Amino acid sequence: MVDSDSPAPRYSVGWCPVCQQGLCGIRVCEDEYGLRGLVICDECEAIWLDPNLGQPHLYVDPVAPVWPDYHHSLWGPYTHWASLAEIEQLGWDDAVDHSLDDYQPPTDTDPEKP
Amino acid sequence: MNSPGRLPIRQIPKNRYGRTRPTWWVWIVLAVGVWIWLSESRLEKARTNLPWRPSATVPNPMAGPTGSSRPASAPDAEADFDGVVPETVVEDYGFLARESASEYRSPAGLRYTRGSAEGHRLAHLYRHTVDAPTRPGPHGVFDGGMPGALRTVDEAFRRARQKGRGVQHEIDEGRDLYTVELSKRVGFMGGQLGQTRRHPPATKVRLIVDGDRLITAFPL
Repeated sequence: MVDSDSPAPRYSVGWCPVCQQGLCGIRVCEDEYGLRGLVICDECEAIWLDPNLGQPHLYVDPVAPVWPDYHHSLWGPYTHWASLAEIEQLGWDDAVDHSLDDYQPPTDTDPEKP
Repeated sequence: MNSPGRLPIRQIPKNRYGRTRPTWWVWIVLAVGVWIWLSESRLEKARTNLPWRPSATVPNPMAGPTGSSRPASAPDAEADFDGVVPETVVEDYGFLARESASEYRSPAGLRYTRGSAEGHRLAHLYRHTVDAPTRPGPHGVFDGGMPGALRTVDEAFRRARQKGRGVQHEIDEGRDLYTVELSKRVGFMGGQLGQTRRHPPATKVRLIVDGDRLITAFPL
């Protein structure tokens, strides 16, 4: 959760096809019901429910955004940018574009960063 | 001799001791006070028009690395974005009208509200007033700090609503996506790509709004 305050994702699947300048990062929500993920643009906040950016996207409330079909805040304490371990747990590791990784430095909580 | 009740021009009334009447001193003091007050107002206005300088900062635990120095072609960019968002970033800048505790409205009618990963759209806009040289790809940076960015975004929003020349408009799931050509330099391309291309100037603004609510805006 150390990166929950960071405005930029740690791992992204590509450039945003909507705004052309945002990074589509993988964000996760973890609570007693398990781990779930989505992809969100850090500029325009377009959301994909899987890492395929060719699929339709959606938007949530811009002022008080909550996880789609869920009740946790998109930027609240139960959510954060995904680590590599969490991305593997989601089975989305093949979708990560590691050329977009280097905006965030490696941290102690993410020793597996290549 | 002057006739009683009529004073000659330029003669200041005096009391019986030969001193100027106190009422005139009151007017003089008031005039000097008003002059000082107006001067201070003008100075304050001039200060708010200066390039914005952060005065207090909140450290971000995930602060990214500080990259190269600012580009020579961007004299108004104070520093590179290092993951630190000043806590003073949410304010009116002498330009916005405060509508509630967390909402501001621009002269063109654009609303800045809570939202985004930064917590407030003004904080998000702040990201586009400083370069992020380690960010992959392009990163649009406005000239003039926050005051400059707010004025440029407002001009872009006004033109977008007028649907004039140089405005491209798409509607995406209820959101308006505008690209507005302002035909003058409004910023530069930063980020890794900007660094590679020597920070080319930007003359367009990409503006994304939800109704009259800003989502994001950056130079192209």
